[in-house]
Amino acid sequence: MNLKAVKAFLVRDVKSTFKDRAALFWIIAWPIIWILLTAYVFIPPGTGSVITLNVGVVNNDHSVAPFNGTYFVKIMNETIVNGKHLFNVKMYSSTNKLREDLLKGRLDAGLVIPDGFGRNVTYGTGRLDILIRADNPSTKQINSGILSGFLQEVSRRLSMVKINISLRYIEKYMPSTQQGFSPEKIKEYLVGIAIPINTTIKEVVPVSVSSRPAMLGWYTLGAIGMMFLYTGLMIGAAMIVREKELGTLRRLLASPSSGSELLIGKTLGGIVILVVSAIIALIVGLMVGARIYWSPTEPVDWLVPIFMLTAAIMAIGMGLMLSLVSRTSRGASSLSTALGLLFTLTAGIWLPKEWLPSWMRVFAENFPFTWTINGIRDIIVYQYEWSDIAVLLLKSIIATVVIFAIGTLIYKAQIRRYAEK
Amino acid sequence: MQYAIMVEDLVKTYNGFEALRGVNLSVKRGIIYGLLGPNGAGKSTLISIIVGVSKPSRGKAVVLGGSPLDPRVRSRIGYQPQEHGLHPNLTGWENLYFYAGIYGVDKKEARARIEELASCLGVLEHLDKPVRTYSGGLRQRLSIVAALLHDPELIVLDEPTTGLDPSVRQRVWDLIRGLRGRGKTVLLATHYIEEAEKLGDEVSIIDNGKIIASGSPEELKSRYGPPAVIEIILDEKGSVDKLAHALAGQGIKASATGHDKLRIHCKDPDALVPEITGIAYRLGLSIRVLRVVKPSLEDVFLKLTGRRFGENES
Ligand SMILES: Nc1ncnc2c1ncn2[C@@H]1O[C@H](COP(=O)(O)OP(=O)(O)OP(=O)(O)O)[C@@H](O)[C@H]1O
Ligand SMILES: [Mg+2]
Repeated sequence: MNLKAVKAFLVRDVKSTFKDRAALFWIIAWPIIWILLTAYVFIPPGTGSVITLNVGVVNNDHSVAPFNGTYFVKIMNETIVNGKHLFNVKMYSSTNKLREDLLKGRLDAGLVIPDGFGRNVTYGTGRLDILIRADNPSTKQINSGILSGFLQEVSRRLSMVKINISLRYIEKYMPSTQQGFSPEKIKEYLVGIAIPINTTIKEVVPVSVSSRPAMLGWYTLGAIGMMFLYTGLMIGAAMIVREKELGTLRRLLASPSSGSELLIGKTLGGIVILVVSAIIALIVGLMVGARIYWSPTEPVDWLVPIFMLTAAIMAIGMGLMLSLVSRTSRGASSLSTALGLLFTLTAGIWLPKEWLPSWMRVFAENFPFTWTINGIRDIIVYQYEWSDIAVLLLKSIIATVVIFAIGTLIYKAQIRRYAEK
Repeated sequence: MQYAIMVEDLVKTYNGFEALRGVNLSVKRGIIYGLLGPNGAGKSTLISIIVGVSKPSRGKAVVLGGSPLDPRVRSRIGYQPQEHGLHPNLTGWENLYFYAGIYGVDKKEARARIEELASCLGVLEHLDKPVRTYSGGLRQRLSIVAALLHDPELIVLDEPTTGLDPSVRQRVWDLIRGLRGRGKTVLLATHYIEEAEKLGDEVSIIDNGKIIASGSPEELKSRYGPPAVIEIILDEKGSVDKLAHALAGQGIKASATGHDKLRIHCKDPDALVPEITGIAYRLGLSIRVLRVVKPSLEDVFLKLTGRRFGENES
């Protein structure tokens, strides 16, 4: 093995790639475009934080009671959750106008406060008419959920106010000598009528889903996976054909270097190119707020470069298989791009496999390249431990060795055929 | 080991088409060997086998005493293929360092060799520019430099001067002669008759996948070429017979082709011309025009194939 020849291929491929604008676009710009699209279009900032509902209100209440329609609207306007207003209230003069805006999608919900609302709430039960925009099941669920949650809370507080008022009367008029009827006991009982079950809700957020930074982390790796796949495929598929077109293959085959220097040099060059662009993509991911965590002092984090290496070598190995049907480097490039994008969408690299139909999910779960990308995701996005990824790592390494070995055999056969042809 | 290249009964078929049909060739060490043939004659095919890029369908080639597939043999061969094999996006330097690396030459040594060879061919000042900006001739020269970086013993050049203008071609010829001067063997494929004739110590003419003649250019011409022709036009009309008669007296057969014109066929015009002019001078005849037409390898080719070189290419 002539290491100088290996280095010559490595250096030449890296240099010529970084001098080629088209290559730079596909290797660096394209994944960045997808990361940016994800961060600002697919999962825009604000996703997953408190939603502000646009609510239209028709207030027909003219009660003079302290808690009337006007007061209710004031509460709506002042309700703040996690620093954000829960409602953006717009007043309407008629129910028809309100309904019209709801139909046009300008409002998420509407409230009609009937006349006498304040009086009824004070002396009995008030009534509210609620209109919910329900263009699809999930907006319906969100809109009605937020509103009914709010109304429950308001009702609960009103109950407490009414209980306290009642208690004052009870204390005043009920003989305190009566056995077992202490005002505390009565209060407890009344509160129990108003609030039979007091629930507390604690939020549990698994890191694997739905937090925007984690999702961005997932998709950053998706973009890197996509780029690795089509670039690696292309490097493999064009490995011989490109050298033939450049006229280097003849010279190389006449040199003391055997074909292995070309294979190893170009593969190493490909790895350098892929890893450099992966690092650039990871930095962009970090900048747009993706959850990406890597520390050199964390031993398990060192599996990331190993997974990256397997991803690169595996993609190039698969590319070598494609070289069987690549007659020109142009053909190799179109085939690699097409197949790369296809696998990206069907094998759980860009689209989460949960989105895929079940038969395709089987493919995504068994596509070795996806294992390597998921390995990186598991570590840098979800901070998995050794034990969580040991199997994945083993599977990835074995698959890489097998695929690259097959690729090498195909490569060697083609070199031999070139001399014999 | 006297021969740098020995090729025996070489046959190469491309899906049934015989590109080489039993080629025998031996190239002595330290000479420039010309392989002259029209387009499609099989020059590149033969060379591919000699440098080990392609395997013969039959027959064998011994190069520098070994097999051209042996890496130790290959490291002593320099090969400039017909297509230049340069990366368009990289500079001349980067391309040449690449080939130096392929042959295991380290950077320092490569730099010195590149400077020497590139200045010799007049490309040094272009080496910082990307190859895609080069003219065809510049690429051609760079490609020749690339073949010589590892200071090979045997240099195989496939049409090194195609597309070069005359002054540059001269530089390449000088370089090739310089290589011979340093004891190297050069195998040079060309379809330029002049190149084979001027440069080749020995020449093989290849046509249709067969070598049809081998030898030094002089040998080939005297063996297959027509005699040289000396044509003389005298100042005075009517003196032709006088001169012809005097020449006949010296055993030189001349035929009159007009009042003032005379034609002499001979093998060795260079020896004859002083004799003829001497006789004319003594007779007091003044020569207006004296023209010597020597045979060329083109005539040899015509004689051997019945075709003019370059017409009806195989
Ligand atoms: N790979 C190939 N497949 C099929 N035929 C080929 C192949 N290479 C060469 N040939 C044929 O073999 C013959 C000899 O080709 P070769 O390239 O050796 O000629 P050449 O003397 O080098 O010509 P030129 O002066 O044009 O370079 C030609 O008829 C050519 O068409
Ligand atoms: Mg040729």
